[in-house]
Amino acid sequence: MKKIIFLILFFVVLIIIPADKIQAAQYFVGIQIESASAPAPNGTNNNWCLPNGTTIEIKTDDGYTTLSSTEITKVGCTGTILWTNLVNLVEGVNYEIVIKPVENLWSGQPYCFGYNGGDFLDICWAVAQDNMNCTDTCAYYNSDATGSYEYQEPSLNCEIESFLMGEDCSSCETEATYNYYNSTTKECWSSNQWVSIQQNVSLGVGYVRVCQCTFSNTYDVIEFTFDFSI
Amino acid sequence: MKNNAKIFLVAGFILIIVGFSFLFFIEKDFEKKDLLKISDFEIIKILKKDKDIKEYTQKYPDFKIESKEILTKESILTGQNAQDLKQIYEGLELENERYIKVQLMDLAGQNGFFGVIDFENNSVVKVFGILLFKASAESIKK
Repeated sequence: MKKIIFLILFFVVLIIIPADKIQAAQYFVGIQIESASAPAPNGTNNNWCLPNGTTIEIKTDDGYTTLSSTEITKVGCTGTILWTNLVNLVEGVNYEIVIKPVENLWSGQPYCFGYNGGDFLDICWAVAQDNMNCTDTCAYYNSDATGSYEYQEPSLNCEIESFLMGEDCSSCETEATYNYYNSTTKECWSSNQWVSIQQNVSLGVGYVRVCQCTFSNTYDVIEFTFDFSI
Repeated sequence: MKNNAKIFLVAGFILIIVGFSFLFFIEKDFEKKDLLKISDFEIIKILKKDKDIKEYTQKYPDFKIESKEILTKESILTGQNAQDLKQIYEGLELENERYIKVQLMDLAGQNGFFGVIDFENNSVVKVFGILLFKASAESIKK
């Protein structure tokens, strides 16, 4: 008798909770970057790219539960599709996507740090063109040359120089008065001083100053969020 | 003499089995489909064997085949080691011209499916949903 009751209960449960009612499926969520612009530090709107290392999170719409977190290992510019890892989503439920650039939103020069361990929030970097000094270079981007921030970490300075020049550093020299790049030997030179940047000095042909500029607009990390449901 | 007869009988039996197996595999090889000649209609027909894709095609009758790719050993291996979408390729045999990867998208270009068909037995071996969003300064909120 008990067996029959259990059997009946089993079928009742099957009828009450049909599997189709809860539809969860595995999705790849793609973010295709359209031509877009965002405020740049110089006050204008620039086309932007998401830097390598950007994280895309899929969250519940209350923002508390992260269902998927994907680190993107390429630069995402106009037209690029950034794919998340596989994520289980349920029909009829609302979610949100949060795009977190790792440090900054890169929109070409000047290259600005939104966050760097809490310091130097407003510093942007620019390569001096045509034998320019840093005062003129920063003015070109509607900003002022910094007074005292040039020295950070030599390895970081060299890394930024390498990024801005689009070349690997043949070596990272750390005993310079200011940051510059030797385009003949491809040596990256990092300042070892906090002050005396000598912004008005321009170097000779083949030596490129890599300048730090300040901007009146604070340029913090920008997170993008948008909601969706399936 | 009787023993010899038995040995001949067993050997003959084994030869027959091996022969049939050989013929079977040869025939199977001959039967291998030319995936280039598979029509979109046939692809959709096979994809609809999957319940999720069948429901998708009913929900988005304006869907279209966004892309289809005959997978090769190299493309499967590349996909398995890629950063993105690697689950599509995981577990597939490293064989040429056995699988077709298909991407279906609706007219709005937002909802779709990745499907992989195994033409060795005309089955759908991989199905993943696609949600594609277009991010622009206008569509996102800071």
